[in-house]
Amino acid sequence: MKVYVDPSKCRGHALCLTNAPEGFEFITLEDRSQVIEGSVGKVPAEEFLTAARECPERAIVVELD
Amino acid sequence: MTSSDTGTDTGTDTETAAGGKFVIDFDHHSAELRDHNDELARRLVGTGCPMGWSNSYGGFWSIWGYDALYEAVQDPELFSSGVAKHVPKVVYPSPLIPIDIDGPIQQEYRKKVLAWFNPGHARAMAPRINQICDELIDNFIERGEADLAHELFTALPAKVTLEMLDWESDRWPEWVEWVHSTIHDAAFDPERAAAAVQSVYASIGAEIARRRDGFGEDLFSDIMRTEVNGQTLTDQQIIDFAFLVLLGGMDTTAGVTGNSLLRIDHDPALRQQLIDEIDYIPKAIEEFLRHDGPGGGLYRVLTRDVEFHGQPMEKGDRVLMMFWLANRDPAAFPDPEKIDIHRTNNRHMTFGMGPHRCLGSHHGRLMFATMLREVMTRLPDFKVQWDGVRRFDDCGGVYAIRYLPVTFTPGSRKHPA
Repeated sequence: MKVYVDPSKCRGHALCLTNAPEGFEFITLEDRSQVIEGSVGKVPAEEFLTAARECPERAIVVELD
Repeated sequence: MTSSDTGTDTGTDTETAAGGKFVIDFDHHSAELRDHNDELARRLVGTGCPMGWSNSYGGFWSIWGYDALYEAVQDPELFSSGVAKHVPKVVYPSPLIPIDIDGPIQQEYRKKVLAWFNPGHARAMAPRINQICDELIDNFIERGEADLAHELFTALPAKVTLEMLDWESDRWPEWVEWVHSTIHDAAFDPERAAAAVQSVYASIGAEIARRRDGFGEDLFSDIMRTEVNGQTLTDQQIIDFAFLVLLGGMDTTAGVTGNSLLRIDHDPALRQQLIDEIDYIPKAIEEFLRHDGPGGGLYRVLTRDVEFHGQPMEKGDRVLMMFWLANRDPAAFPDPEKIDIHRTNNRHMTFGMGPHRCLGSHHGRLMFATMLREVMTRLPDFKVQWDGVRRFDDCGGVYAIRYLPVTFTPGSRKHPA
């Protein structure tokens, strides 16, 4: 599985930090989220899918194997 | 149809196609929006059209279809945020920063205050927000009755906003009164609103003067220190930046909290669900934000002629972005009038989207969740005294409540008086 946040779409709503708290972190000075390195595979896939589904800007991409 | 520069009280369903435009009988500052919000939503959504033209206030577009609004908000080059967008014209003379600004410089302004408006900062404020909430509820919990508008949900965000700015937070009722007048009097009593704006200008001016001898570690000092493209802000720009913090901070979180409490009072099953799932409230708030958000609407102005979703829009046309109504679009939210705190795919637009996404959204969410949790914990049987409930006369800018009297089984203070 691959997960990433499209930096051109993310507007810093930060709902992914609630829906997958171990999967995303916030880059304050850029006002956007990114996937925590190494979290894919550890965090339940369902959490990433929820984060993608609830992202208002549709910025989170989950590619299933 | 009425064509005038004042509002028209509407309410009848008389949409007609004329001049290629889908014309609607609609005035967002009307009593219809204030008193019959759900019916109005059904009427406009029921047209099956995502947008329409109203002849009120010299004419303006409204967009309420979710997909159309999503497209518009992601295209700031076409849908500009310049000050000519307001319906009717605003009572403050210069652009608020950064909401009335377009392009890269708008993002630069935002960056200067991101240290204050990020999820981590909101989390760090949680203990203080809890404390203010506890104190406010302590002040009335033994009484068995309260006006939750004044005594809780208007007070809390106002105090938090003033504390972030490091302005005297005990003066919150005065600031709130000016902010309310700016937002809710602008359409029908512009002189009164203009006087409130002058009071805000003067009081922010006094805060500027207070910091000339040295900055502090507060949001307002950072606004004053802002430099963009090597230029420091003028005093007027400092005022325009701080004023927006007040407008964004004071009325909006209050609005959604009040709106939600009214819904809960109407719906015993929902009330019980919130009591039973009290730990779920930080996520449950998304559904209240969707269904009962405080947004009347924000505006844009067209930068060129365009056919948009089949409608002939012209350069200079003003556009009301009806985020709250897009939140009721059945194509995006199945069974949109149902409040389902476990709803999925809840990509509501209450904080806007795109480059102008509400900067205070993280704080707003936290304050709302805190107040809702404490009300459902400490006065879970609150009963709204409907005879005393008053909305602001004009809810076109922010859909909020001025008085919300309740009774409840008295409880104990958390902290001694």
